[in-house]
Amino acid sequence: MVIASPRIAPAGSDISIRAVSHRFDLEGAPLPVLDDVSLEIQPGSFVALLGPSGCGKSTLLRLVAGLDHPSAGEITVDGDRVADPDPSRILVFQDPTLFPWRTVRANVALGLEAQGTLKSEGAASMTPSGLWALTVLTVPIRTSCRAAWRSGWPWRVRWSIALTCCFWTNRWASWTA
Amino acid sequence: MTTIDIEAEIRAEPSPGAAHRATLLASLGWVAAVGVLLFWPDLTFQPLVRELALCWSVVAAALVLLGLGSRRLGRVGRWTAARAPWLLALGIGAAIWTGLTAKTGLLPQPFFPTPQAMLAVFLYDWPKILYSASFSVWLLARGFFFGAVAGFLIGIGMGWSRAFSYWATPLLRYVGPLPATAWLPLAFFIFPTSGSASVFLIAFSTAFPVAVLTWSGIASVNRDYYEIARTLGASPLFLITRVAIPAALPHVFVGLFMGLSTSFAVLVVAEMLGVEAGLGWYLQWAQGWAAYANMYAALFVMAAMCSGLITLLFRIRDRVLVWQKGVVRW
Repeated sequence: MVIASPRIAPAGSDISIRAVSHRFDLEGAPLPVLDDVSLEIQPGSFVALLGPSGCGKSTLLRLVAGLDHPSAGEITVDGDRVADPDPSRILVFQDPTLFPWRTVRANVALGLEAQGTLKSEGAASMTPSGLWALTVLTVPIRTSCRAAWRSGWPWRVRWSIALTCCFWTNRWASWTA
Repeated sequence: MTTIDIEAEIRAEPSPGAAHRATLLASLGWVAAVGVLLFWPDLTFQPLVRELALCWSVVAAALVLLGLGSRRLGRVGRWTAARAPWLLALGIGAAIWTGLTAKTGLLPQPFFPTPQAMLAVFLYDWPKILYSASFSVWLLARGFFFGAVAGFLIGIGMGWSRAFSYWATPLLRYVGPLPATAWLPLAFFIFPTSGSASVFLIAFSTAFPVAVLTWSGIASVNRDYYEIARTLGASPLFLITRVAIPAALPHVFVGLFMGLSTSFAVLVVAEMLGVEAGLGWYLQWAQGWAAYANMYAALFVMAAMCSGLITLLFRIRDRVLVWQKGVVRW
């Protein structure tokens, strides 16, 4: 079976992390995690952050995703300062947390639903790129079943959610923590 | 565990044409009850002896048919087969009841009515009982509905908004544990009708557990759900309606069960003290006439109503929370 690869914008996002420091305010004592981190990521590049457990990789990703705000420094994506999470920047979490009350299909459609595109454009908005992600990644899964999961499924669905959302917004900035 | 064993035995029995012996045995219990009723003279005159004997004979005959055709009757057959011991026990119980009341008088008469007297109540007074029961259900439904909605909204507000929680928590903590019946004397003065006062009291007793459990449900939602939805572009409204509420629903249903059980108590007390209709009122009214059989009849119908409503809520929960099957049981 040949699956047509969806058209992706030739360039992804230009991510720039400038002098970012971050600390968690635990009870009483602040816990510094990042100290003056700077990083330039060119559009379309594939970057892997490596480091021992607890060194702040996930923290940096959460900052880029907009889930947390850096204590100091600035993060911009295509020149825009990151203030809030945005579907153009997808984060795949460490645990394949899925919404157990939703079916696989509804889980995958979550991003489209959240952005209101599913309602306004119906199931048609799932094609072709979103459907591609759904098809490729969830081939052995009955998409109408509830998210009562067998081993291996959650990850496929998790990625499918991220990719569906990504393809829809036609950008390529996706990380896994 | 015994039920499982019985079911296993039923399944183990071969040959689809075979009779189900336990069901046939159960019919003997009812035959015994008919025997006691007809061939043992009553101490005092009892009404409707033949009619009651006919009713119980019909039960016995039905059990014989069900026993013979158990395998061919599908679900009905299986249902009766699984409950055969209970059906037998009920028949024997009817025989013992008749013996203790109508035949020997070991249980003194007006206080422990004979089965014939109970039949007479249902036969002659059923319109009043039915009206009372429907009135009770309607009253309960209104109160429970308003209470559940109010509790749910308060719970969501407390779980979601820090400011709302700041103001609502002390009020809920202070006023909530107060038994709704304590408001009863005041409520009947404040509200224009005793009906609206009862609706308020039932709503009040329902709202507290629903609010507390909705709140705790929303507070215990896995934070990852919110973050995933947020990275996918969810608005705050989406987070509440599509993430927080579905995730909190199991807790909400626990609150609804607690609210429903407490509202039964409030309903009966309110009907006994102020409302001029309903099963609670019927019970009180029957006591005024020293009509003990009618009181037992009211209790019987009340039990059927309460357990029926609880069962209905269970069914709704099982449908709504079908995704939860095998995840959590309480």
